[in-house]
Amino acid sequence: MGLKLNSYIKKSITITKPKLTEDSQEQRVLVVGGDWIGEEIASRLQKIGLDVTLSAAIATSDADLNQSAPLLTGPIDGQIGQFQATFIESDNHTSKPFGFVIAAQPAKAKERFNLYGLKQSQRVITVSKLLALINEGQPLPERVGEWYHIAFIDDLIGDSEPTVLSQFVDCIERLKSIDKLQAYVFTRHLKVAGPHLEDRYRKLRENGVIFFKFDNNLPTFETQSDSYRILFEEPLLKQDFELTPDLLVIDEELRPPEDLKETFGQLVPFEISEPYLQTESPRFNSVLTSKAGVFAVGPTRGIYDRQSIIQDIETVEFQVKKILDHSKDSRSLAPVVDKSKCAVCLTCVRLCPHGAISFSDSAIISVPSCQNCGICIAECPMGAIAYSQINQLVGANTSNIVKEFNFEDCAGKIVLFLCSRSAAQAFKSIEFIYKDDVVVFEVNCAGSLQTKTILDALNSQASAVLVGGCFKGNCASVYGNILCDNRIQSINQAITGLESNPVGESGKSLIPAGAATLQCQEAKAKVLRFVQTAGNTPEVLMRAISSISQELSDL
Amino acid sequence: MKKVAVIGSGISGLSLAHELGEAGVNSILIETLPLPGGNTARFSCKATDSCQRCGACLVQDYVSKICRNDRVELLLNCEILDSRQTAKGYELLLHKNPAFIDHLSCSKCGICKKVCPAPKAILVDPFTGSFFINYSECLLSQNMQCSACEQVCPEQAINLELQPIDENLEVDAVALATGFEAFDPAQKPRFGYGRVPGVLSALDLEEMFRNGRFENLQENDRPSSIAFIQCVGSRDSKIGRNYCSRVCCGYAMRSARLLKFKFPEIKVSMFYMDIQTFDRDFENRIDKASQEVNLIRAIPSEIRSGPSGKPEITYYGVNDQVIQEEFDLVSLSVGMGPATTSLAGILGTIEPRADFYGSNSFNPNNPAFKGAFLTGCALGPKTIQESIDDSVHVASQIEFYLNKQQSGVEVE
Repeated sequence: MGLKLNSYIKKSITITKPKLTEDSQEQRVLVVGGDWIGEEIASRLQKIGLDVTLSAAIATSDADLNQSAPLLTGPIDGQIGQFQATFIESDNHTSKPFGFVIAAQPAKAKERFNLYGLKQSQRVITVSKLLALINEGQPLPERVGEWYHIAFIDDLIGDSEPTVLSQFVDCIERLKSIDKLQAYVFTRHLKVAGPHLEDRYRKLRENGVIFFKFDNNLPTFETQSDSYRILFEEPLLKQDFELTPDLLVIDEELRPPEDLKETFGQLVPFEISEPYLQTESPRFNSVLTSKAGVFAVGPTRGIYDRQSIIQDIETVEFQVKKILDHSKDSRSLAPVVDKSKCAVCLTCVRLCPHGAISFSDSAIISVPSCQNCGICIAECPMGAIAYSQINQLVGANTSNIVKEFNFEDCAGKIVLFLCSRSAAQAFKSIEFIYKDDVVVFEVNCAGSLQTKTILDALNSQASAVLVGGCFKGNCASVYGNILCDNRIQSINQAITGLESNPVGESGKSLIPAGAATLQCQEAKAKVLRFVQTAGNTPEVLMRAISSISQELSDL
Repeated sequence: MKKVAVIGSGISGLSLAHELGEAGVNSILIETLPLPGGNTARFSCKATDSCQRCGACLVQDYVSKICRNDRVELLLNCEILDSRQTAKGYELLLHKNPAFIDHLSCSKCGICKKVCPAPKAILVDPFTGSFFINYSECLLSQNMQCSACEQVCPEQAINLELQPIDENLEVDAVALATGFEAFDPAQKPRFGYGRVPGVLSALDLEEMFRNGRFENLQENDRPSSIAFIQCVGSRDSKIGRNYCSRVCCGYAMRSARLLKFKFPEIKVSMFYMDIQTFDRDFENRIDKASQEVNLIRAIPSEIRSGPSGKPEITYYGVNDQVIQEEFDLVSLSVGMGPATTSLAGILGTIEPRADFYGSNSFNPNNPAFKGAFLTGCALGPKTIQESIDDSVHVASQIEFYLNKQQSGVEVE
């Protein structure tokens, strides 16, 4: 008895994972790679019986064209189960369908010679070059004096990563066998925030590696035959020193691959996630992107250390398997398009954050890609998109999310439209304070709230309307909160008569002209606000409600 | 039907149980406390006018996902008394404490909390505003007689007569999501924690953020300066912690930004060894941060009450001169240590580890730990998002392991 807490009682929900479409190519996977990461993913997926194509990114140079792997020749397009990619393979252009797309290009290591005003030479090399020399057993440049001096430059300008420090530490540890070796590390901030890195750094220091940490007076470099002389003020002793190392090793800046936009720009809203493939909202975790069936591994989502990349590789295999094993239920929650109303204006195609909408003679919503945010319903200027019946059925039984709005009992109260992922959660803990003063409607995403619904609420007997959405950059529908905020600003401008007709993000009128102005100006409640909040910031919501109450009493 | 016990309901445990459910694996999520969320639930949202990607909001999101997930059973108020390895997996002896408050009757009035003589015995869930009795802090657990809350409850929602139940649970695999324990700054007396008014640990600061205590301050009482002291209980070989806690620099930066957003006049200083900002949230981060925050490369030698009663920090400046500076508030960025609630107690075979990275002997491929997995901060310091990434990954390992077990193939 009493072991399950009532406040955490489950609401039974039938998981309705849409089946991939009939002509789906679910067994075919495209891995866009370029180094070991892509190869590893390809070989793992092949082992579980999938048909894998490993391609290099879009061909940019002739050298690329000589590779044996198929090369992409243009952006990938389509939906989960039916992505389309074009290749050039032994001089033939081919277009192939795929079920899944995995972005696994290598990181772009940007050399920093220019940043420090240095020129690359035999004695001045990048850290990855030194690692390659060590791996291949190649000799290092010869020593000039009795001791072999190696200077490492890490993070003197700009910013570094723990991954880069671990590369330096790898090098020094592996060069231990060199007789009379003295290693120096010139840095500003040692990025020791990786597994065992602090420990390894301390051991090196105990074994005589000298670390200089600078704040302001950065070292300068003077050309010295085939190397450089480093001039610096020792930060602790405050004395000037100079050092002409036998080998000068420079850090690199790790960046996501540069061809993400060209390759995946049609699939994800890259202008928002740039330079990564994964949108910045913390709601996109692990390898997921905003587009179903497209996965971002390692460097494409800003992860560079080997251990985490391996973790991503194993995870992506799991994610693909999960969709294949659990996508047999064909019931769909996706909204439906009324073909007779659709004007093919492409508003929904452009605004769907999940890239789930394509078009021919009318808009087509891809059922497996749709995440059911409802933005298309709210943004369609023709009112041609609506929730499917099954969605309303499932929704009514299993969640608080409201599909049909009824404002009959709103007289004198504040109507709250709350995003299920943020404001509605925050409201739970303050519910009891406002029981008698507000009427709450939980919506899937603030972006799903139609202008018509807001106007209906304003024109009911309600005293005011408050919409609560996620903080900018936190929305699970990427920008649903911003679309809603814009909508509310337009309505407010129409209410105050600044603008005659509210327009949507699309630049198109949200509701037929005339009627809109009239409706807005005749709105019985004049107070309409949008508040950004998170599920754990009820105080923000409380402040918004009390400031509305204040406004109402001032009127 | 295969079943997994996930131990600990912090962000790692929640996301692991959820992911397992999504992959069709049943799990039981076991939490000693009466509410889910673990350490992560103690952190506040750091959004200014936009999200700072701290991830603290995700706990609640996962709690509601868990509540809708038929494959996850959440056991709160539940301790694990004993465990043993079986042919099939593990057998756990559970001690289920009752939920003394019936939440359908509770009106969240909070009178019970006001009359309770034990300070930590009645907890409030920050998400739902519901009240919980934390039995381990309740006087009843110390064999004392008390029924103050039961008598005073206007809804008669409290029943202290309920008895705990001991029960055996057989599972195919166990996942430890036991998280971390924050360093106790009182162990570093020179920072004055607990002695000098105005010296807070980062978790105290979190509580102030969460309770909106900054907003409620009168204009004159608002802090005009705050110092963040980094690496308190991290990168410190004297206390056996030769590792960086990874999250504190980002945490302090976010808090600094939030404070600057709330009180644009506030002066923020940050005492550090090396700033550990990496990750995509902090692009061109140090140069940008140095415009907002006064960065001081020094770890204070002492913090004591200054002439005006505020905390006064003593440190060595760039030219080795001794500097003393007063701040309204000092926040100690406490590091992360392994949870001492004893992994050993949970699985008899696992030795408690001196530090996160100390032992690599724990490996599910090792027969001694067959079918046991670690996730999240139990493995080492991680951010909230990294913990979730980890759990998704561990879910894949568990699924793989269970499939192998099913098909009768031994996992090498």
